[in-house]
Amino acid sequence: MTTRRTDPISLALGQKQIDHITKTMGTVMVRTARSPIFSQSHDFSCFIGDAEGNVVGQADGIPIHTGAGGFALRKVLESYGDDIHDGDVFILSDPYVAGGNHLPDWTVIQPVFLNGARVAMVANRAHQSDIGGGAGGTYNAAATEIYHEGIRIPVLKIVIEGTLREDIVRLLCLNSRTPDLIEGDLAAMLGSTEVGARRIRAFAAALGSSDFRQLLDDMLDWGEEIIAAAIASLPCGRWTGADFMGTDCFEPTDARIVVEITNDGSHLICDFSRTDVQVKGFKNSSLPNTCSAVYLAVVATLGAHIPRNEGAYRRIKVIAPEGTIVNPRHPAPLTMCTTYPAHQIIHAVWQALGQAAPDLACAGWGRSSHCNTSGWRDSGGYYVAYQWLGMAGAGAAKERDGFESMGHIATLGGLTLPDVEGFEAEYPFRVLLNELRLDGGGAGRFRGGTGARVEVDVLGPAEYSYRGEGTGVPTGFGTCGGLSGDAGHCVIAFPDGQTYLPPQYGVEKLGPLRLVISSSGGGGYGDPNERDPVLVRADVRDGLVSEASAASQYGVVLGPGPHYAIDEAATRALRFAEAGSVAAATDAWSR
Amino acid sequence: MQYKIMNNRTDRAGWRIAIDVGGTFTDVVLVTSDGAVHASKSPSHPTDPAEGIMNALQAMAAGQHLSLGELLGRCDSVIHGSTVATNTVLEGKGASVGLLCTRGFRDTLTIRRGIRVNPWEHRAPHPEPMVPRYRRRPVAGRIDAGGLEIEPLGMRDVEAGLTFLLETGIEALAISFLHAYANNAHEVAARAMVSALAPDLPVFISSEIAPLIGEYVRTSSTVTAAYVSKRVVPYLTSLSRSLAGAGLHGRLHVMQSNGGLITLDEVARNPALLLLSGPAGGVGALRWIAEATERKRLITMEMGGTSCDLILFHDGHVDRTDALEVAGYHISIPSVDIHTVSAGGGSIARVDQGGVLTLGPDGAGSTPGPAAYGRGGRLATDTDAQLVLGRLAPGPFAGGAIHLDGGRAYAVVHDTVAAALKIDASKSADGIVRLQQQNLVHAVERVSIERGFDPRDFTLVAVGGAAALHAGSVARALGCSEVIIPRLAGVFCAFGMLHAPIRRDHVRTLSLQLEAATMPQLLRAMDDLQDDVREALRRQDLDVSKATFEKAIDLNYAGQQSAITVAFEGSAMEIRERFLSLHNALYGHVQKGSNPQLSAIRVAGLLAPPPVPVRIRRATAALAPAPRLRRDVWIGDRTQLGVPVFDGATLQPGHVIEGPCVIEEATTTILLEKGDRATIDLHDNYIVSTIAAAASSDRAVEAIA
Repeated sequence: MTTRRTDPISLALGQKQIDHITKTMGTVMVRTARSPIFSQSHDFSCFIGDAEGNVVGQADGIPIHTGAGGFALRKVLESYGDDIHDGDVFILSDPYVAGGNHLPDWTVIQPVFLNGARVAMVANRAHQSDIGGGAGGTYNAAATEIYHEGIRIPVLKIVIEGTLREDIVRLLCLNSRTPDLIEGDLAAMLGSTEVGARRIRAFAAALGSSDFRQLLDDMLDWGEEIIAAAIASLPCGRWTGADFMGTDCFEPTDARIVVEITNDGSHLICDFSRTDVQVKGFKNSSLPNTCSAVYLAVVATLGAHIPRNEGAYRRIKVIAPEGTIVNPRHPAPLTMCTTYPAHQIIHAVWQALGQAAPDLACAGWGRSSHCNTSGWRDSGGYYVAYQWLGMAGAGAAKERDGFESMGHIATLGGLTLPDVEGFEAEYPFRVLLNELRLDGGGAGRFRGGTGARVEVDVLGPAEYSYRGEGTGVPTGFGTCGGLSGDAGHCVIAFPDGQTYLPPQYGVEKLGPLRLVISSSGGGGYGDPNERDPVLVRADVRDGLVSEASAASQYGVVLGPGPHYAIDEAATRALRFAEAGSVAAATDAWSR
Repeated sequence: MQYKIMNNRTDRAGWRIAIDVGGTFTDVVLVTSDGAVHASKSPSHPTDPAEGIMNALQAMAAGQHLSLGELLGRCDSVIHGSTVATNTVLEGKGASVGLLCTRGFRDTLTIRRGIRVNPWEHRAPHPEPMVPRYRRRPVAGRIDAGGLEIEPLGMRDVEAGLTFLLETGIEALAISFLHAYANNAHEVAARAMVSALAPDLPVFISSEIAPLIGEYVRTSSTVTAAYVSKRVVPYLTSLSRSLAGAGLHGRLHVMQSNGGLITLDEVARNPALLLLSGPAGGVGALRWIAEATERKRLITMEMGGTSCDLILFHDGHVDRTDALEVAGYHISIPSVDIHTVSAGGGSIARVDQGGVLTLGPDGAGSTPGPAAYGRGGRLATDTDAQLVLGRLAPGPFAGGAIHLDGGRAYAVVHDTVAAALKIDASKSADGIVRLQQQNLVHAVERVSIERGFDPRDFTLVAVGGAAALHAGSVARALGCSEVIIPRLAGVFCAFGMLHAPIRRDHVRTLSLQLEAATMPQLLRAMDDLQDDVREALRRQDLDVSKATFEKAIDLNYAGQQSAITVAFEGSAMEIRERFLSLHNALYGHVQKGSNPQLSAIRVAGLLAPPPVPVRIRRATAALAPAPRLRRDVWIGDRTQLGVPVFDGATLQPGHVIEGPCVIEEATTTILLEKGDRATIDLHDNYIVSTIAAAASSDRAVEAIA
């Protein structure tokens, strides 16, 4: 850290102004983008970097994007050097050569100039509806090389000194199954960065170039100071966390993500040297994505007050050997990485940090069991639908039960899920069921989210890209004595009554069918015997926990329904007898 | 124009009273037939607001040398804005509600579409659903997205569900079935059955409460209506009886979130309509200010102790929205689009671990309040900073309700902020105030620039106790050249209610391409909807022949989540052009080759209020009186010595005051900087012209345009 020169008031004002500008960019994006993935699910991020490509502000965006943007900014500088001019706008996606996180996320980057000198960079990263490749909707579970995953975009100038390169736009659109959406969304991304660039320029002009640069430097230092204080409050030591891959998309694998975290009092060193070598399928993680997942996990543990800027990330060192799952060699496929293995990376970090700071520990979130469905409508248009109705249960944390059915861990729940009505109006689907599961959540003083059960009739032939991460075995680990959530399940039923267990990953074309998905549950926090019996009773009455589980897992004995009166004497006796057995079960799970 | 109320009695004097009950004060404004306006503030009775109202009316009557019966007997109508619905939600003290929902979809309220405002705050749980899961009962029957029945309604399920719920002791019932916005036959049939079995149970159906696609918000809205009904309906009924018993022959009208009035019987059909009852009253006041001052474009900042409400008004219109969030619950009701930010006199300042000053979003409220209140507040607030800067003075504050302690203010700013920042208390206080101003600037940008308006074309209207200290610098930062501070600022919403029309908003989901060929279908749907509105007005004994109707449609490009509401006038082509020009203004581009599509249609029915014949005062020819005193005030970047402080009570229409100075009004304090000039107009408003810096918003506006 250098000595700050911006006075504390100007720093406070400046940091708020940068945040405000990224939010304004986000508003432009939400309102103008055409595909629902942006407008409804906010699967994009707006961020602002300094002239050297360090991200200083990212108030708007999904958490798994939070630490990856700087790689892209710096790649623009590295690739174009002196050939970067006022009015140029860049686009990129490739994780191997262009600092991208994965191919579906396109990043549009506009350097901002003041008096002829570059003072900042504004960027928008957004998940496209379709980028070609072996499967509709950007996720090709059959990929074994990145070449199977869609168009790779190196760092390109899409706007040269104010003039849009229509030829590049045509090339990009031609490589998508949804060219109309791509064109509209690209316009929204360009509009959003243009708004951001103009506002940053105005702000920099008001402060003057030199004070503006100093402000950005000082914002990075401010981020570093805050996380330094949080790290200093943790004990020094070394802790190991791990999560399993389960499948490499083709067959079961024993591969694991393993992290050793060392706190030396000033830095968190996150060493993935014991993580296994890269896998065959697209569940490898690019280095930017790995770093982002680590930052996400650390910030979620330490608290939302940690600034999401690259100053803070100076205190988190990531060691990710090349050739492992968390930093694969070309041409390993890796499109799945922003969800898997991001999920496993976050879990591994949470397991390690949970030992360091039990009060801050986060239980694991269930992995998803749904698939993507794509196909042609009767009216002729192509659709890509994320089966997001049956999301998994989230893990519990101290003082909060897990969210019952929630967007991916990599978004920390920041995905807005569809309405059944909108879903049915938009796609050739009929939803028959979308309700919470019984006994899906991991028991604990704070219960894990229970997950949902979904039944959807897909009315026409369609293509299915599976991601049965949460099926088969429990995935949401319990912490501090809490139990893991239940496993998920995915079954296909055909109109003739036959049923079929789809593979965990893979792409298939099938006729009309019924999808039956039980999503996995989140892990519990703390000893279930310590859960307030009143809450256990409410869960039983609400049909989220069975009477049998109330007794066997929580040691709570209830009278008959519908009142389920708590038998206090019997509960006391049962809880006394069972004390200790829960801890043993947790140990067994974490191996 | 008069409210044409059938069975009108003729022995009244045409007076009107508006009552706005807030958390702290009950404001009453009386307009007599000669145009005289009388305002009063009395303490609210949080436990029995009706009692507070009767006391406030008693006081008003005494001020007119009348008995309460004489006062009420002269009134055509009493207009009431109430926070009872909002407080019921905030306090979690609503009815025990049961829900009948489509089988297979009991958990809409729990899953709540996963919406989280800040995902990083993942340790914060969702608010508890208003209806626990065991009180949500499934009913067989399906309507599809096109409105066709694909499975008949399970009447046995309705009966079984109701029986179960009655045994649990529910006090109100919500019914929300999938796709009821497209076809509500199942909801209507279920309600009929419930009413036959349990005639006294209040029942609310989603297709009447919020007939829009999207089962989460529709269900949440319906449940909220049922939840608040328990307190809203009895409260208003008993108030109405008390008023009648005390001599009111005119009617009780209630302020709705849409800025219009409604009668009691209609409130009972959807009590959630009252959720923004108080602040929506400001719209009427804006309309009056616009007329009185001949300004077309206004943005109000109503800033009190905890928050600031902003409303943008242009050419007679306010923006409207269906999407409300109250205490984390999502509710769709027709509302004035009020943007609320956590910025008030009580906003708390702290220094974070990185040595940076932060302000809010939490506030000290009125208890303990700012440290200067001497009620135990130990954290520095905006109000404390204003005292340190000499802009507020120690002593009586807010009409004498509070005594400000300057020593405490200085100590708290010094100890909790200045020491950590290693700068002096004045600079710290200036930092706090500048952060607050930045909050307000960002909030004004949200309601203007992000909706395609240039704030430089607007006059800021500062109301509420805390706004007039900030308004000048906010205006300068945005490039606005004018600020209006109405003398009636203290009773702004109550005064506004006197200008509110009776208003009824209906909306209906309709998916349709906008083209000449679909116009006949669209016109038919509009006529149907207008008939619904007309019927709703007729139910209130109103002369529908005097009603005017505003028709609009929601348009967007395929896939867009948000829609633009466009006036429904002219041909499909003209409407399309209107959409394109609005889209371009809002977003800076249009999508070539794509046709906009319809998502909803809207009809509003209005009956204009009788004009309030406000007396115009005569301008004085005299020079402004001398300042009451002079004191040292921080203005700009330093303390200026001997800045004049005027007593607002001595200023009259025609007086002109130049900055720098401070003007102390009974319920607010105005800061004028060097170059600012305030004139008091004939309607008793301060019209402040500022020298706008215009720097920052210049580019900001360009950016969107």
